[in-house]
Amino acid sequence: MTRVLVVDDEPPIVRAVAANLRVRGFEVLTASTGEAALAAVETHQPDCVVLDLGLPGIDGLEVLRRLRTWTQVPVVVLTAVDSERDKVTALDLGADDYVTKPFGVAELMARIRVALRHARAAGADRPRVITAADVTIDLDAKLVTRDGTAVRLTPTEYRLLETLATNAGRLCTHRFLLERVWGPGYGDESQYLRVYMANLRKKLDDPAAPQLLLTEPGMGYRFVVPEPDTAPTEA
Amino acid sequence: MDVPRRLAVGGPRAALGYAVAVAGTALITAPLLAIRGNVNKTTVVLAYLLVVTAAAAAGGLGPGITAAALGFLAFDLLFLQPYHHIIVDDPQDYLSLAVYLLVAVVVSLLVATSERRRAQAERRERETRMLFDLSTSLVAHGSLEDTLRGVVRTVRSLFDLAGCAIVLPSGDGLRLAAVDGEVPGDLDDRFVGVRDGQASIQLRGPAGADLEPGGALTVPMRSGASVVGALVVVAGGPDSSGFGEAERRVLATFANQAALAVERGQQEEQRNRALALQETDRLRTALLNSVSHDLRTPLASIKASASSLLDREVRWSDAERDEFLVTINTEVDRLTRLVHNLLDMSRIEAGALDPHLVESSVAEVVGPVVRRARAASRQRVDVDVPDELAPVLVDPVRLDQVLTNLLDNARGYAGTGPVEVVARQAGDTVELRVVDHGPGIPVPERERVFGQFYRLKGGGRRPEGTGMGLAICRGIVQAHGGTLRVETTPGGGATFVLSLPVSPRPAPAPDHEVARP
Repeated sequence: MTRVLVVDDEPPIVRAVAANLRVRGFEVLTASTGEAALAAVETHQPDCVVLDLGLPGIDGLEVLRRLRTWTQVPVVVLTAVDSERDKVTALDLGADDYVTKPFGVAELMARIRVALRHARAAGADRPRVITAADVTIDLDAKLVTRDGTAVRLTPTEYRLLETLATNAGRLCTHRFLLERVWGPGYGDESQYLRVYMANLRKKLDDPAAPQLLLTEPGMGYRFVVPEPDTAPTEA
Repeated sequence: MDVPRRLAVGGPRAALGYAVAVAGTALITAPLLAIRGNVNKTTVVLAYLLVVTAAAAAGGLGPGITAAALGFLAFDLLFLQPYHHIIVDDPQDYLSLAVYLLVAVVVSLLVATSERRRAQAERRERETRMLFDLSTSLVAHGSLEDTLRGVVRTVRSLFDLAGCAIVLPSGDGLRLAAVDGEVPGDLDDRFVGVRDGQASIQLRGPAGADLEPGGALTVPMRSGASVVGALVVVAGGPDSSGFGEAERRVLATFANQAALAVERGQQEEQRNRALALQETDRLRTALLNSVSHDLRTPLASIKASASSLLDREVRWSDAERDEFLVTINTEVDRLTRLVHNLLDMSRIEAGALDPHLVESSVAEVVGPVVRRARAASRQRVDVDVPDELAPVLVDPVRLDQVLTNLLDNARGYAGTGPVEVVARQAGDTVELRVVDHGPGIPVPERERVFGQFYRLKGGGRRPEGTGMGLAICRGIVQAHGGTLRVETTPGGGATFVLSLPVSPRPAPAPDHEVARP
């Protein structure tokens, strides 16, 4: 059974989230402090962690920082509407996704499913060919086609697309993308990203209404593979 | 001061010089005349030159020239043949006279000049010393007001003044920033007024001539192009040193230095104001964060529960459904309480609480509060409210709110122990004590518990309150003209002391029993 750890200091929220996870067939662990959360991850090895950032004692960001020193367990953080910076920090620290409070339970469930799927995909042999709508990316041949026709990409455009596609479904922050594509030392030059994302959209997507390459304002970008079984609008 | 005027000094020094010239000439002439036959002309000339030197040294150029003239006449009339005539027999004597006159004038000039230089040096030294004393008064003090007070004191004592003041622009008018001694009451008339709030004032009329005792002089305090204020000096008695050109120059220089000090002080004040604003901003941000967290948390619980119930994919059991509904219900109550508190808080801060004051007995207000507390839990609540307490002027609804809050707090922190409500008369006030024997409040936290969004740390107890309760209580009590403070319960625990003013209206006199016949 898939095991999810829910960390929040508000009992009503923990109860609601736990009930929803249980009814969907997950095994649920709960913790109300950062210390308890760290201990629970170590002892019970959950498959996913739902982590509130505003914890008393060790706060959520610190929990995340400590978790990432030894485990890649997917983490979905819960944040307040107005703490944009915390969101970006959490994602930079290696959180897989975030949900803003107050949240609808369905949205949180969808984010947890995506995080779990991504973690499983990362653990298994990665597919070497990624298909999203009419776009196909062959990672071995470094070949991108749209509707069966090859698309010409510059080396930087290709590296950016590759990074996003191999993290499909996940929100990639500006810093993450810049460091992966341009190299360490880059991190604040988000204007580079804007230019290259615009080019990629022109070649692979609908620049007016993007379907594959979504912008998360102020935070980063997300490569979405539309799937028939989950609603793509959630991502 | 110009050189020619200075060389021809007036006043007591010149008089002394002329006296020396006349008396010296006479004194020298008498013995020389006695031995006229045996004395040679050179001796006579040298003797008169001595008088010229003395007169010039004593009184400057004028007396020197006078002595030279007198000496010339005496020499010519009394010591050159023929006696008592301007003309002389020996042509060589004309030469002697001419040389004498030339030397006498040169000596007078030299002596007078050197005397003037000496006087100048002395005056400069005095000015320097004064400026030094004044400058010291500028740096030695702390706040701007202190500095200015030091300045007027120093100026007054240095110039031996009847009074000294500093006038600064303030708002649309002027204010007397510092005064020492007596200053005229018509200061306002001396200034044209403030120019468009630029911290600049204009002086009216010229800065007059030498001051009569009791006359006032305004010296502008300039910094760059603007006048930041004015130094007003009032001359002292007839013995005071007066206001010569030199003193005036020192005053002007000093007024400008004081202007710099004023500007420095004003900048400091501005900086302090900016710092205070920053601190207020920081507090406001902390408050906003706290409020938004407190508002968002119940909203998040309600949203999570409601969206769960609305989810058509899931079939909830009755128990689960109930739990979601209970959560929604509880959290809506919490939100309501918070909104109420926020409204109360903003009313208190806006001074719009406006309690509806009624003369009430303390026992009447305490009764229902305690009854509710006893009904809510089995915790013991002891009450000690004597009947003979004076009535107080309160809004019973608001006082009920305060007492309920204090009692709830006390019960929360008392654990299973009892809490007490004690009322006592204390002079013009009635003191109501809500006592618990819980962990108490550490002394450094005593005032902070009344701050907004304060919650006692530790205790492992999840704070249920809004963190505004005590701030609101104090706000309400203060709106009643009372006070609320916290003390240590003897033996441990916290005691909240609510002090309310006794109603000023006398209680109705008790009915007198009619004496039975």
